[in-house]
Amino acid sequence: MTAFRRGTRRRSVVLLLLVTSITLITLDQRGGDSGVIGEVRDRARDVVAPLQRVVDDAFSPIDEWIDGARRGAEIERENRRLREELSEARGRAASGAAARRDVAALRKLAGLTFVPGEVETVVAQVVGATPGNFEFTVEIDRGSTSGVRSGMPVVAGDGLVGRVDRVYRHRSTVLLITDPSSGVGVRLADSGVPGVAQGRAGRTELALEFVDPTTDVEEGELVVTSGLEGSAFPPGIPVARVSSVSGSDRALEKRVLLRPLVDFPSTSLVKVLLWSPPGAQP
Amino acid sequence: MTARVVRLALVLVTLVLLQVTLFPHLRVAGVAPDLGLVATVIVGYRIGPDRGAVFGFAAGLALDLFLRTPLGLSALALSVVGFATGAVSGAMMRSAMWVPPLLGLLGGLVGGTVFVLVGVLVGQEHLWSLRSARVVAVGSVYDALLTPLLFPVVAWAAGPPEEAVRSPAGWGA
Repeated sequence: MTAFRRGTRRRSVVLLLLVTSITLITLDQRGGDSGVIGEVRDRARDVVAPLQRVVDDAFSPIDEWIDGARRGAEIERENRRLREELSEARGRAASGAAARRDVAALRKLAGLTFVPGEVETVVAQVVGATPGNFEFTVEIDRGSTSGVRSGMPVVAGDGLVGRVDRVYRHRSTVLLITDPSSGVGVRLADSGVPGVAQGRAGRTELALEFVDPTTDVEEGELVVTSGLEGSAFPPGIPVARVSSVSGSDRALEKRVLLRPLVDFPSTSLVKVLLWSPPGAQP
Repeated sequence: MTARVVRLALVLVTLVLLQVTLFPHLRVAGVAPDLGLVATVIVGYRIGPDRGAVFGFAAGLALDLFLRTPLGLSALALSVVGFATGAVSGAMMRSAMWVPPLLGLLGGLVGGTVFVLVGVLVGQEHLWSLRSARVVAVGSVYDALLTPLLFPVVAWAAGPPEEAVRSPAGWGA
């Protein structure tokens, strides 16, 4: 009899926990970031933030040393390449200034809302990574008090990093473009053909989807945000370069892989573009 | 009873803080261990399936606060792990050295699998990938290696095993 009661109690406890879990999952999915659950998440992250910062600061030199040791030769090659590119870029800068002015004027005339260089930005430091194994996000040290809002694009020196996912008072979570749930509306810079750069689980490369299979795509071609109507990103932000193309023109689908321009593990400073799609809630 | 709850709460808070602050820097092959799962396994092993399930629920819920996946998903997975560990370990040689790491390994596999499958069912389709299988496998080994290290602290917090209230099968009559 005692054993029967014990068994019944155990069943009740476990069933109660399972029902509670499923209820919470449902409520969280329906409520999004608003409501009680979002508020509790905000508070928890704000409480842990100072401690996270201390540990991140302590580990920063170690992480950098390990990264440097692992990528020493690669960094040296990259350094040489960057010096060459810098000297070329300086040469182009003078002629580029006039062209930029023209482009800005034309964009204004065309009624486009985003003009590179004119969008207000907030510089943020990457202060931590997610504790989870199934998501690709980073935490930055700017939040709603700095004007950051959910959905804003985040860029680094090389190109697009991702978009702001959740915003807290002094921190935000950025969903990287490599996350499998991330899809960025892009276009091939040379041909202008649009597509979607889709994150792939566990891979550093992105897949270019919804591209016409007859499109001529070259390896090394630059891919930038399309900024089409309703897009979550303004146009013209460099995203990636085509790293491989497979599938013939006759194939129903062309498999195009993209290598992001931003090296995520070594990115420590980013910029949040204080930009929202036209018509979006402020 | 109250003292045990306080000790377990302290352990839980400490482990969640370590998980969120320290262990993102200590990934192996891109995978971090799940300290809450390891503690849940030990609690279930020491003081039974129902308490293991409750501890797992609390540990999972705390971790869920810091993840993008829906609140309650880790809580559900760890509840199952805590219950299963308590139910299975009742029939095991409790003094054997290899039992805790083995339970850590099995707990990691079960917890990770439940997390992925339930996640897919509730709309987290991106979890359905080969990478998830690799993450679960690597994470389970990592959890198994950490189980003996955490065992003394969590076992102290859980208190002595209560053989009298255990039965080999948690659902047993």
